[in-house]
Amino acid sequence: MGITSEYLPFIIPLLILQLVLAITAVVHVIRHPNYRFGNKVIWIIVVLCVSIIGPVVYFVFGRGEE
Amino acid sequence: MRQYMVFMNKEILEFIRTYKLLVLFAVFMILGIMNPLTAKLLPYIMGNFMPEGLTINIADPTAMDSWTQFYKNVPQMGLVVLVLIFAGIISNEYINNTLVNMLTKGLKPATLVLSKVTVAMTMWTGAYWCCFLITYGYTEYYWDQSKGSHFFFAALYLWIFGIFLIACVTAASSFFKNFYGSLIVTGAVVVIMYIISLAPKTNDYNPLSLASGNMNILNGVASPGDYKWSVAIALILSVVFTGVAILGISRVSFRRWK
Repeated sequence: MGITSEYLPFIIPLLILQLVLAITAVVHVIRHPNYRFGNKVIWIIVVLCVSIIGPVVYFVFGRGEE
Repeated sequence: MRQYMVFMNKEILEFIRTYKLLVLFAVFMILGIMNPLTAKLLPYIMGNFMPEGLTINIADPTAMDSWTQFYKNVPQMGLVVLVLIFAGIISNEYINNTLVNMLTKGLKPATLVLSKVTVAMTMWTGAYWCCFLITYGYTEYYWDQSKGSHFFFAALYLWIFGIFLIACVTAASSFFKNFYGSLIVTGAVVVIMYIISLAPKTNDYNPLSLASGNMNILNGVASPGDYKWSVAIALILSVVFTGVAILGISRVSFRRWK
């Protein structure tokens, strides 16, 4: 318990930021189903499973033009 | 001047709508939190990886460990994300064919490049110092920072290196119709600087020292003044690269009109 509460000030903001990134990316993947390459399933997996880099790669390389 | 402001506005809107601003800030804020966390966790991680029966004494983490993580993570991950996000800064306009309209209606290539570079550098400034302040806050709270020296200069130099990279990626981006080209050129520039840095005598002049010598400044091994030539060369090259980007755009628009 002592160790957990010691790390809470780090873990809570970290989790929030990662969730914001992942959720924004997933919502975008689902609502804009045209990509430069890959398909919806691949991008959802990438965005959710590869933390930080996944959403970055999606927004830089993956998203298609409107 | 009016064109400059209008175009800057368009750039900022574009970065918000393509989520790139959000991604940039989120990544740098995550990095800012990760640095002190990794420093704090490192003794536990090391302890778990040790074979049984072998005991070594690992010193408790200090403020300097937190800053070591900062000057390792930001160049390795932060700068890579920075270059990725700005890789298409000009080539995207070629890909979407949005440049010809603006240039034929009288937008000067210089105005275009300067407004793009201004926006990119402002975003880098915001994200980077945000990351710095987060790491500084956590480190100040958990450890005693009184031993370090020149916190501001060490951070300022890495920021200047970021400015240099943005200018470099902008120049490269203006010559390619895809963004892999600008990534390759920027990567090549960094590799060349790395190869040059293998000769120790050149380190006083190499811009790469601005991203690698920061811990020496904090530890007091080097003084901020030791890097004055690196700073000067990085800033001069940034101006040159911006000029090259203007040439790149002029070349493309000239070819289109002919």
